[in-house]
Amino acid sequence: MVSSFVKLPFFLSIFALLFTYSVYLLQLFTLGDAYMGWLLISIVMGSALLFSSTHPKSWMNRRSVMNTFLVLNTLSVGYGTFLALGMLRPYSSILSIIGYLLVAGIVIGIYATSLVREPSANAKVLHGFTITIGIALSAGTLYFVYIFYLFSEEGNSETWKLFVPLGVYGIVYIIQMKALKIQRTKVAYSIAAIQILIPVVLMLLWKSLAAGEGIL
Amino acid sequence: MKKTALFTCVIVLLTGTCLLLGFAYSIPDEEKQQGLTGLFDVSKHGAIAYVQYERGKPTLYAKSDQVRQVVQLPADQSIQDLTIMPDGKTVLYVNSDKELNAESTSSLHQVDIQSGEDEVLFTRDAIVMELVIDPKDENRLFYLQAAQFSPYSPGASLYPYDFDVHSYQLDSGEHEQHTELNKYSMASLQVSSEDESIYIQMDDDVDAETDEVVIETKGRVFKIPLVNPNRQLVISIPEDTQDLYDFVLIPDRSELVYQAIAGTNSKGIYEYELFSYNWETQSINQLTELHAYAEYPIYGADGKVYFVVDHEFGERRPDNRLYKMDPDGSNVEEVTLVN
Repeated sequence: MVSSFVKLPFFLSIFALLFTYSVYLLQLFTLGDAYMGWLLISIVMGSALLFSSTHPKSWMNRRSVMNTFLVLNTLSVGYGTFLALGMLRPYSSILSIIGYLLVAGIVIGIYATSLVREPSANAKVLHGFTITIGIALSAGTLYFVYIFYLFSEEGNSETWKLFVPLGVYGIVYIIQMKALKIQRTKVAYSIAAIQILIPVVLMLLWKSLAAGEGIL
Repeated sequence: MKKTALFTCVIVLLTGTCLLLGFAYSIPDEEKQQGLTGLFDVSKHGAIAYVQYERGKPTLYAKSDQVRQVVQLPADQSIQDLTIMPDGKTVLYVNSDKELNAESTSSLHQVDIQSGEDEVLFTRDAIVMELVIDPKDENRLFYLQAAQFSPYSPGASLYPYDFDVHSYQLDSGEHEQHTELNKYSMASLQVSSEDESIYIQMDDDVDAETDEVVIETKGRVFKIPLVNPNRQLVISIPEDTQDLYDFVLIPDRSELVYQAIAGTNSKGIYEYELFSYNWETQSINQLTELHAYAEYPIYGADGKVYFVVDHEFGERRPDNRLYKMDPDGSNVEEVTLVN
């Protein structure tokens, strides 16, 4: 079981690469759009994940590095899924389902790399908790930014505010892990309590911004 | 190490191929338009002139006994409107830039269907939008002319503005301006076959003084006598269709054929059908039941109503086909436009 989780990033990277090529080529030949920038970024992300998962001794195989690659891959595969949704049928349904599954797989991969290789029980709980908050926060931020661009006529200069909770979350996460490393378990857990509040802050921020724009 | 090299080679090769294919096969936006447009006209004897996009190139076809390609313009050009002469032998069309800019002009072309001989009758430093031949005098061509106007910052695309009705005498080459209304918009120009007047849709903004009020005004249909353009007459239209924009007037029948939502299909996509409204009797009739997207109705010189139906409405690519019917909604049939 453990070994199959360790291999997960490898398979995910292969599927992400194949998904990228299929979406790019189908988009090109059915609709005539060449998303070269996305292709390059997505291939570099997929290759980085592939390399990090096949080279256990490299610095790229470190947990934090691999998790970063996984997170970046959710973004590139997510955009690919968005592109797939706008394609002709039946490609749109087939590719977008594959895209959703792949994103779900990568999210599982994030949990797997964080938890399976973590010996300390305390850290396991905290990791699981923070990742869940992180995913909810990222999904929420992206969703709000999307809505904001969709409906806001002006005032896009305020969009950066929506990313503040995610930034705070990142900093808090780092402090939490440092606290755990130096055995300050209590500090680490009390920080976790703060983390619960961050999505609430995002909601409040969104409400004030949206009210200012008259979206709500 | 060998494996890494192999993987790298495969990825670089695949990505390189994809990029090359991308450069070779991607289609610029202006070349993406494809298929039948809403521009078509029908002569007395049923000859049809229509515009179809072929990889973004506006292409003029004529169909009498067979289909013939008459004109093809580059993909950055557009055909604004066309009209087929009553004899069915020549087509007049007005040509401008697809992306209007401050230097855009429009020119009226006269093209012979048989020989393809194309002659420019006049060029204007403005946008000519619609062409209608006077049913009472086939040498008189009515047209809508608009100035260009950029509502936003410099660089934003331009929209036609300041509309007025003009006419052009095909035999003498004389122009005449009939209205001095400088309207925000005018559309669906039609010329009466009975008296010296025209029908036009425009905003009912007589009392509007500020820009904000103009936005709230409703589009109405007016009858304007050419001898005294100030004596406009509002044609009453059904309450719930006051914002209608896709319609045709059939003055001989006191009728208006217009597009409206008739229902939704199993996927929840709206179905648009054609309806008629008689402004004498104030009765409404549903004319079509095609369960698709019926649009661009015109009243052909052969007495039939022609319109386009998109059978793939709501999908990425339209599937437009030409139909015709009697003005009362009977004898609905598809008009085949291929040889």
